Amino acid sequence: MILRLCAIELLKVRRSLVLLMTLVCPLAVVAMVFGMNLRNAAPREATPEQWNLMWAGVSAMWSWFMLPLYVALATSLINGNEHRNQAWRLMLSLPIQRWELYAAKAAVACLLMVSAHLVLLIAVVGLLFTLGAIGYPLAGAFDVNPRAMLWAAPVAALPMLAVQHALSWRLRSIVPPLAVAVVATFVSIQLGRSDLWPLLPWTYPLISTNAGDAALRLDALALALGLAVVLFPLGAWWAGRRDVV
Amino acid sequence: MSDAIVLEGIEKSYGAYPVLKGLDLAVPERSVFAFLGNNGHGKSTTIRLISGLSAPDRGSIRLFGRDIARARREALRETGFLIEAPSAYPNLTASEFLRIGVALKSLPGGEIVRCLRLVGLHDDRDRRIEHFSLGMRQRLALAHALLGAPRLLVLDEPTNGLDPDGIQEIRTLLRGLPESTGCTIFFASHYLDEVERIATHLAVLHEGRIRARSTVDALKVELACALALEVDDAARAAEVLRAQGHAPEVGGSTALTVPATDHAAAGRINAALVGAGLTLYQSTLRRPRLEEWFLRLTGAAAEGSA
Repeated sequence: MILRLCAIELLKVRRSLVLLMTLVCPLAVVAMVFGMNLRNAAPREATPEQWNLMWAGVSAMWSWFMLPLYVALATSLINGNEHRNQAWRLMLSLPIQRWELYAAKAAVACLLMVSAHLVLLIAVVGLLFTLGAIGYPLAGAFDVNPRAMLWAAPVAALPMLAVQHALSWRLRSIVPPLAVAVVATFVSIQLGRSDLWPLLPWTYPLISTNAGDAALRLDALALALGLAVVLFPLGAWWAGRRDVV
Repeated sequence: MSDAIVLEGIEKSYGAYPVLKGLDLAVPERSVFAFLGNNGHGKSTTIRLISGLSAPDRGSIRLFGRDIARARREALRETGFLIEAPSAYPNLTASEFLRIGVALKSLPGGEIVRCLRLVGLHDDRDRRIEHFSLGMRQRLALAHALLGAPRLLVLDEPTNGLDPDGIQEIRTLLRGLPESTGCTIFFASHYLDEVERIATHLAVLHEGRIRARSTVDALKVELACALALEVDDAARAAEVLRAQGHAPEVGGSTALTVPATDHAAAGRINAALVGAGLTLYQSTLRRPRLEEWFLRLTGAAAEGSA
């Protein structure tokens, strides 16, 4: 039933804003970071250090800033499908359990987050190849640490997604979940530099991808996974107990 | 005949405010059961409980003998609901919208075409819902409720917000359904003419309790007709009618009323008066409307509880 519900949730996002955001958010990060760096670089003289800076810039901008906002938007829009026009009543009068719908929506939000992350990586690689084709030297351009960049951010964002999903499931308005995301993102700048970073899941994506210490990166990932394992079932249990009004 | 829906001792409160106070109700199979009541007296809450959207504080709900608290999935599989959601998912086409119910009720894909034809939307199957009129959206929601030919249809104010043409479309559809599909229809409404036209049974909910329950036919007998007469001499007309075994009530020098069951009886009374040499100015057969009965019932209940 969960798989069927996931297929239905994917059907519901057809022609919707959430798909557009899945493309726009990562592409905006790539365009911004590459634009800023290449604007100041001498034409066709990019060095390996500059490419590394660009990878790090994309990673940091995505993990710290855009990914939390994208997750807040995606979960709000996915749950907004039901909040608009009281469609909860339509869905939950079908022979399904409330926790199953909650889980399916969470799964689709995760899938969209991974898709957005893949768009980001494909856009960076595609842009690098394009630059190479027009004469930029690509020496060192692909010399990145794959452990840090290629998969860590979406995994580390799972607890954040669990919180945003619960908020969006419960609240009809899109404003409180987005406000939480914005405030938490800015608080994570300070908290991410202190020993208190484990207290705020919004710090995990940045630490898991950009921290200099490999052990710290692994700590952030382990903490994220552990918290996600607790938060998702807890949310599904809570959602299953609530009345629909 | 067994019961499609059985509610026993249902109590439900929102915070400190009790909405349902020991509701008992049985809906016979294959009936078109109208659930009447003023706004805020618990109609929609009852429908939410039947559809499993919320749980009662006390009491049990059975659909075709299955307790929905214990066997929710099985109980809801044979039931179609239309609960105030005619505008859901405007980005989807009509076919895509029905795929939701088809997938979650494990039905064959052919059900989409069958139900769209049933509500007259087959030609619009690939149009997006955002381009539909309110009447079309309501028909589409009804098509969704009809997926899998459910044994029970539960509809919350199915004609609410529609224009006269839309109301007519939905009523025509509902009137024909029990005969063509054999399903039971339970619908909440506050349009009493709608109830008179399509229901076979009705119950009135007032302040969280069932205030009256009847078949529509029995109610029509109960709401006996009266012949309102205007003649040149009401007192003499009353004597003539009493002599023939009638029980007239004189309402003035020229007005009187006589209980009469149908047009044939009214004709006989008119003929007797004219035969006795009286001048008959006006003769009108009146049946108290359901609306008057409802207002009397809920008004009396309100006075009683005040």
